[in-house]
Parts: sequence; C-alpha cells; structure tokens
Amino acid sequence: MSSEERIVRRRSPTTLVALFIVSAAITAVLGAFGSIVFPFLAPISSFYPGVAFQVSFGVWFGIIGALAGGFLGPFIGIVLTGTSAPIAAAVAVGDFFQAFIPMLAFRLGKFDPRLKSGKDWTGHIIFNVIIAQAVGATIGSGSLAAFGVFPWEIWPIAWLGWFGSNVVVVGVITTILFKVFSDYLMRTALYIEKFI
Amino acid sequence: MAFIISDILKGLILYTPKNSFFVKVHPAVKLFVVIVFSFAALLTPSHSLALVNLILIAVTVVVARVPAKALRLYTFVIGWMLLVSFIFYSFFTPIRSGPVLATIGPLRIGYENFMAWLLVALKFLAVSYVTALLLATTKHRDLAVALRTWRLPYVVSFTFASILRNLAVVSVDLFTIIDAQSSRGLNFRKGNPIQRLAKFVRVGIPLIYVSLKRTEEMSNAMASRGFKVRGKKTMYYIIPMRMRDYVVAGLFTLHLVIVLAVLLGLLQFPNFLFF
Repeated sequence: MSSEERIVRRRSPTTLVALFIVSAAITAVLGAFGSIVFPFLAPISSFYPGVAFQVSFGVWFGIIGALAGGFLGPFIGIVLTGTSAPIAAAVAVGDFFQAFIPMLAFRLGKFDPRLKSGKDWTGHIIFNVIIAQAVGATIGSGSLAAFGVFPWEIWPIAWLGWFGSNVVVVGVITTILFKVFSDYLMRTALYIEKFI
Repeated sequence: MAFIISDILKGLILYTPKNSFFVKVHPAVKLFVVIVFSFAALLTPSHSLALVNLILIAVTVVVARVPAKALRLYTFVIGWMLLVSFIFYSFFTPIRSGPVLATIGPLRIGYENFMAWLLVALKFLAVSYVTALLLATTKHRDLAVALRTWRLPYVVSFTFASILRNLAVVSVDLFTIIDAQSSRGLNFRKGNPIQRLAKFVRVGIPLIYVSLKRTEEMSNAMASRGFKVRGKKTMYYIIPMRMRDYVVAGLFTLHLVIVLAVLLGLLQFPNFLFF
C-alpha cells in the first residue's frame, strides 16, 4: 500500500459519526419505503429491500454499520410507518442481528466483500444469506407474534415468509451491492476493516 | 404505494406543526408520553380499556390539531397490517372456542379468534396514533432538545437530530432518483415481486453512491467546524419546563398506573362493551 493510500484511509471521529448518521438515514428511509412498495403479505413476508443494505453496511462499516444500519435505521423506519416504539425496538433487534452476524463473520473469517474467491462466496452465502437471515427471522417474527400481530399458531409460516423473502433480497441485492461498491469503498476512508 | 410513503416521509419529516396546546408541550414530555402510553396500550388486558385508550388518544390527537392527512396515511398503513393480521387470526388459525361468527366457503371465523384480533387492532391503532401525535407536533430540532433534557450525551442527541434531518435529505434523493428512473421508463407498479425487486436495485445503487459522497462531505464539514465527541457544550436553544408539562406527564403516568393496576387485578375495570 502506498503512503498516499494510507493518508486517504486515515479515519477521524467525524467520519465515524457521519457514517453512522448516513447509514441510519438510508436504512430508515429504505425500510419505510420498501415496506410500502412491497406490501403484498406485510408485515411478515413482503420483500424488505432495506435488509440488503443492512447486511452491506455491517460488512463495510463494522460495528457502526451494524448499529446504525441494522438497528437504529430500521427502528426509525418502522416507527415512521406507524408502529409503536416498543414493537419497533423488538423487531429492530432482529434486524440488528441480520447486520451483526455478517459483520462478525466477514472479519473473523477474513472474507473479502468484493467476492473474488470461492471462499468469499461461500462465506457470503452461508453467513449473510442463510444464518443471519435465519436468526433475524426468528427474533423478528417472534417479536411480532409476542406483540400479537399474528397468533403463535402460525409463527412457523411467518418465520418461513420472513426468512424466504430476506434470502431472496440479500441473495440478489446485497450480492450486486458488494460487486458494485466494495472495490470503490475499500479504497476510501469509509471502509472499516476491523470492528470499529 | 410509493406515493403514499412519499407523502408520509415528506408530510411528516418536512412538516411544520400547527399551533396547538400539544405543540407547546415540552418535547421531552411528548417523548415520555409516547413511551408511557405505548407501554400502557400494549399492556392493556381488556377490550373495554383498549377502547378507552383509543378514545383518549383520539381526543388528544384532535385537540393537538394533527392534520387529517397524516392520520389518514397512518390509518392506511396500520389498517393494511391489521387486515393481514385479521386474515391470519381468522382463516389461518384453528377456531379456538365459542361460536362461529361467519363462514366464507371453507373458511370460518371463530368468535374467540375475532375477539383476540380485535384487542390487537384496538391496541395497535392507539399506539399508531400516539406515534403520529409525536411526529406531527414536534420539530426535529425539538426532538434533539428532548434527548438533551433526558441527560443523554451530546453526541447522542446530535447524531439523532442529524439522522432525522438526513431522513428528509435521503428521501428527497430517493424520490428524485425514482422520478429520474421513471422518466427513463422504469415502472415500479408493473411486474411480479421479483421483477419489482430487481428494479429496486436501479434505485438503490445511485442512492448509495450519492449518500456515500455526502458522508465524506459531512465528515469534512464537521471536522472543519471543530466537532468533538467529548467535552462540555454550550446550548443556545433551550426549552424550559413549565407547569403544563408536569401536568401532561402526570396524567399519562396516572393512565399507565391505572392500566397496570387493572392488569395486576388490583383495580376492576367495567367490561361494558364485550363479554
């Protein structure tokens, strides 16, 4: 790495705060927007495009991305669409794990978000597309059932709807985002290699 | 549908509240009211009390002069969720007990299932309207004041206020991109869900690019103004607490106490509507 690149990659607290603000704002707006544009079986199995951005932000921006893009953004987005704060917070915990698990897996497993090798693809599919969405679906749909949005009897259907739709969204959109943006981001100060 | 969320975002985020009694209430108290009332509404054990909650918040919404447009939008969004919830409660759940209320072909709606859904609907409408009450009567700047009044660190209130301000910016970016893509022939209303999802990529990519550029600009602007995470700050915009703020906070706390007392069986609430 040249000295010029090292200067570019140096971060300051203002970068982290700005990253936090923008990540949360994007996922909040996309969460609110996506929930309405794809409402055909809302609230449990509509396509939720915001999840693709949550996963990407977790992988690119570390803890900042997971907290802002995974928790606070979805929380604000859910509140904006008329759900109360306690329910929004419970559902956003599921969203947080959908961003936190990819963030953790890509750092511990040393996967490259540019998806250059078979190892990177395997990590992406196993952790981002499957495990993170399974955990998020369990917490998210469980929270909705606990608050009575649907009865516990149909929780397995709700879980399957949540998981299936997120797998499609992350499999399609996150993969495209990784291929389009990762290379550019990794050459800027915005990419966070470690946790913070 | 996109136009509806556009209206919600533009209407609530870029909204200037009308003058009313509730607008003048301290923002920290409004935030307190939303949290306390949401918990009270969600913990409500009976239909009658849930109906009283809904009436209470409806009266507050009217007194606060929340615009009918915002209420209509919220009713639409929460109404859609409740409709789906009704389908799950009635058609996809075995009849629990009691008589059958209606039969539609092979599908039957049980009385107990309907009552269980009705309680959820009354609770969710109440919490939805209290959220609308906060958003439609409070400026973003005042929400930051509310967090500072709650003694949260400066960086937290600054970040939260900036996120709210950026919601408007990002949503304007989003709808500008949608308009630009629509003028090129992209129609979000056509196609199956997968095709519509694929179209969303053509909005998401420019949005991320624009937002990442803005992150760098914002970071530079903050650094050039000497932003520091730690250190004592001087506030030039302070809203003092008044007697009416304590009264409003006290009334909603009393409401929560009553709900808790009914929930714990310490207080009997007449079940005047349902048996």
